[in-house]
Amino acid sequence: MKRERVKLFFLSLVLSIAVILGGTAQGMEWGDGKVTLNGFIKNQTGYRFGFYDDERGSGLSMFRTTLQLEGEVKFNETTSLYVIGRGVREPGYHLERRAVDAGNFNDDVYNENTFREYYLAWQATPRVWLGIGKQQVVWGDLGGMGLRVMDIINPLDLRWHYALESFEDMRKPLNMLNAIVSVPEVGGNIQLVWVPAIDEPWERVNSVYGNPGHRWGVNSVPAGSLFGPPAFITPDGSNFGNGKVKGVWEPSTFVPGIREDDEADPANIKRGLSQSTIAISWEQKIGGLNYRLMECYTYNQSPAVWWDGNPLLGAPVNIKYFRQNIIGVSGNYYEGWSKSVLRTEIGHFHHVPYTADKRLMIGGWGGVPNPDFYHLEKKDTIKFGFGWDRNTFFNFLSPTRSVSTSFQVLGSWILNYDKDLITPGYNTKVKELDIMLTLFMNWGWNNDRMQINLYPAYNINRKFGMLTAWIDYKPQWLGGGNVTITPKVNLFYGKDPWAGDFGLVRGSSEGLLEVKYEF
Amino acid sequence: MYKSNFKSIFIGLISILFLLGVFATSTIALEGKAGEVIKTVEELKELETKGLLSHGQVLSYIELIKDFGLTIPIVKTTDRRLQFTASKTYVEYTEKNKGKAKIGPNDELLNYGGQGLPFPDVKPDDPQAGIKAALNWDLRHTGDSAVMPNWDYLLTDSKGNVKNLGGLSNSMRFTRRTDRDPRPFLTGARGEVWFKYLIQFTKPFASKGLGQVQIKYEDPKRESDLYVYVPGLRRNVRVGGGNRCDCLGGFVFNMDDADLWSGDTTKFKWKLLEVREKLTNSWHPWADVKAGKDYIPKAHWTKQILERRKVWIIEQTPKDPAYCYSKRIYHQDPENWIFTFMEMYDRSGSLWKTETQNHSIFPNPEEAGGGYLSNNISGDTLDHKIFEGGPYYHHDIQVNPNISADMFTLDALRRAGR
Repeated sequence: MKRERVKLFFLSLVLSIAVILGGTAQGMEWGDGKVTLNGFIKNQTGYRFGFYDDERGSGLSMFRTTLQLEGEVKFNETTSLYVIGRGVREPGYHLERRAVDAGNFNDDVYNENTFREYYLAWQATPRVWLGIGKQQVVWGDLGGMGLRVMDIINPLDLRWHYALESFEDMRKPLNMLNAIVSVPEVGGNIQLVWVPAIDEPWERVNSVYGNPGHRWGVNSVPAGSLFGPPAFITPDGSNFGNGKVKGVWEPSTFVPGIREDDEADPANIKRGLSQSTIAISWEQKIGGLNYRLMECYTYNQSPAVWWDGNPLLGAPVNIKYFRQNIIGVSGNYYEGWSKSVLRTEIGHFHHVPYTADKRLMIGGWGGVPNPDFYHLEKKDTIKFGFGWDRNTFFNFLSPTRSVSTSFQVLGSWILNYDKDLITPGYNTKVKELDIMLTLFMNWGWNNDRMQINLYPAYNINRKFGMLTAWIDYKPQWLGGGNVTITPKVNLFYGKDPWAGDFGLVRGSSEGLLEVKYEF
Repeated sequence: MYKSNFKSIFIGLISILFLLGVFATSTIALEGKAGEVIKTVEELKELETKGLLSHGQVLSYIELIKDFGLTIPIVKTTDRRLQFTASKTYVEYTEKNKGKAKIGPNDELLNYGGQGLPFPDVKPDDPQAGIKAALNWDLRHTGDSAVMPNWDYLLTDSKGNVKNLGGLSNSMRFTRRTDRDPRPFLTGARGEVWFKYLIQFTKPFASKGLGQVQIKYEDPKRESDLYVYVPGLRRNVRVGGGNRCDCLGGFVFNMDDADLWSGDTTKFKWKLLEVREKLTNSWHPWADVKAGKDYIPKAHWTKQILERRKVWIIEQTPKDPAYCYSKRIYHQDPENWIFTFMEMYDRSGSLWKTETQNHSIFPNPEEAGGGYLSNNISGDTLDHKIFEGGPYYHHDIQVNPNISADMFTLDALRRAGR
């Protein structure tokens, strides 16, 4: 099977090279454009800086080569088939070598050979459009590196580069029926999405490595945490702490020989119609306002972890993905006086599971086991975001085009909040109101042959953040203008190495060079 | 004796050489008349000194002549009055509503009859001639709908590297309709949307799936809306006014530059600078364009055919200084109010880009008002700072097709992307 996949990858590579050498760099076309094949080859080479006292190591952090092929077959004016295939070759990070050598996972764990998307798009009637197959559906009006509010249909794969890639590349496409019924009389449309749960169960929820032994695994629990051991201590104790930061585990903290399965099915998620995701939305343009109302019944993207009782008294741990109703609204409006676009998304997430009460004992170590230790709470949570976009001329940045600026405030607010809510395993406090600020700036030179991008983000409650900055350089003289060279830095800040989306990877700051050829 | 003979011979030789020079000069001194052919850079400059070519035109044509050895013929001046470039119904409505329209205090169009040209008889000495000419362009005859299913833009750099962008464009009038029923407006459309314009890119791959819908409104105070489908986001993005200055997909021109002018007219000041005879783009045979004979591979320009016509030179300046250009200069044909040439000046006032537009005449279907339809079929853009630009041309045009407004909804924009 592996040999077949290797053959498939190299066949695709040869096909791509043939296309490229074909000279037009426009992909391939047959049947007067009825069948087209395009794609790209991309290499990402990264170096981890080793910030925070080498907390997550330093050195070559990524050498990923991706071949993506996108085909379209137009059967007639109303029906098309889209196929997107992705092949990836990527060796492990050098600090994963020990885990590979110990048999925890293979060196090719990051390799991919998949048909990511394949769906039939059919304009069944002038008013009814259907998309049937494996695809992505995106709702909402906000955007940003790794930050979503109402983009809730497709989960994310955060294993290979955390949340640092375009969502289009990180989302997990799902098999679904996607129907859009237009109502142009009122400038609206209804969208119905049915995910019948025929995909692998692990594809239905986010994938992230919880072990910092993986390149993009999050920081693991501090020593002494009641959730970590014994899984994170090697028998001889040699990987206990890294000698620099108390309680922080070294990378490659795997128990040698214990095989990892990062595509194991979550315990309570099965295939079958009863496990379907159903979503419906109404979108309309009224005057200058565009809005969308959304309702979705789906799995929570992260598992709930709790005990029914106290582990000291033999109670087992529960790990489960709950289903929930999500109702939301998104909208955008162009405000003429300020020449800016205002955007928003607000979602009511019903009965979000949280873990509460980190006390193992009541009354200290001499007391009694706490029967409410790590118990389950379900709280309605409002997730929200507001965005403000404006283009402004700054001559010193670019005299020929405006600078796109986009400021966002994103956050969550837990209704009926309890002060003892914690993040399981880390015992860090979950805030009642959590706010993240982001800013995106983009400008270009020479008719956007070179574009400069800045994206800082900062959580003001929990004091973690990131800055990603990159330049897209697309010279006309190179590859017919189809090559993009992107030097990039991803910098993380976290006061607490066990708190927050970016704090948990704070030692993973890196510099990258990406080269992409599109055809 | 010997000395005087030598002197005579010398003077004679000098005279002969001088006369040869005079004749040589005379043979390249064009008058800008039909039948002449521009072959040298000197001839271009000569015509510029005579006021028959603008400096922007000369800069643009120099490359054709110098680098590609091409020539520019001057053809007979043609009759391009409205009755030969527009539908019968459009001409009738223009006549019927003549004299009604006025200009408001903020340059907005008032009391417009709702169909036809608003100011067909505007005179050069009218102090509002500039804005009236601009509104004539806005409301010129383009048919009630257009489908251009396949266009190419050959973005060429200074070294001759060509990048091929391609796509389709569709447009439709929702109100102010003159050709197809229902007239003057689609059911339910009155008082809001004037027209919608859809562009979708099909190549190169980096731009494939990128699309935009521009919505222009009848209310002049209401800024037009722009929505862009971004394949990488898999959704539509609403774009603000400032983005209209940004170049699409690496193009030399921005959204306002499309079709020479696609922006919000009342947000700019318009001034008629002068009226003069100039050599301007003649109408191109559609057969040549369709056969691909109208463009020059590896050049920044399409084949140029010029004719001598009376031209209004219009200056446009932004009311809001936060704009990418300090001004634009247009050449406008007062017989049909079509813009044929544009110069764009950067924020410091230097000439930055030029753009031209070539038209063809099509017979307009009887069920769509009969008569004719003059449509933009090719054109050129050139950035004179980085010396980059290219010709664009349509492979096919459907004239006044009977299409559905459903093509221009936001969910249609999203569905057409990947």
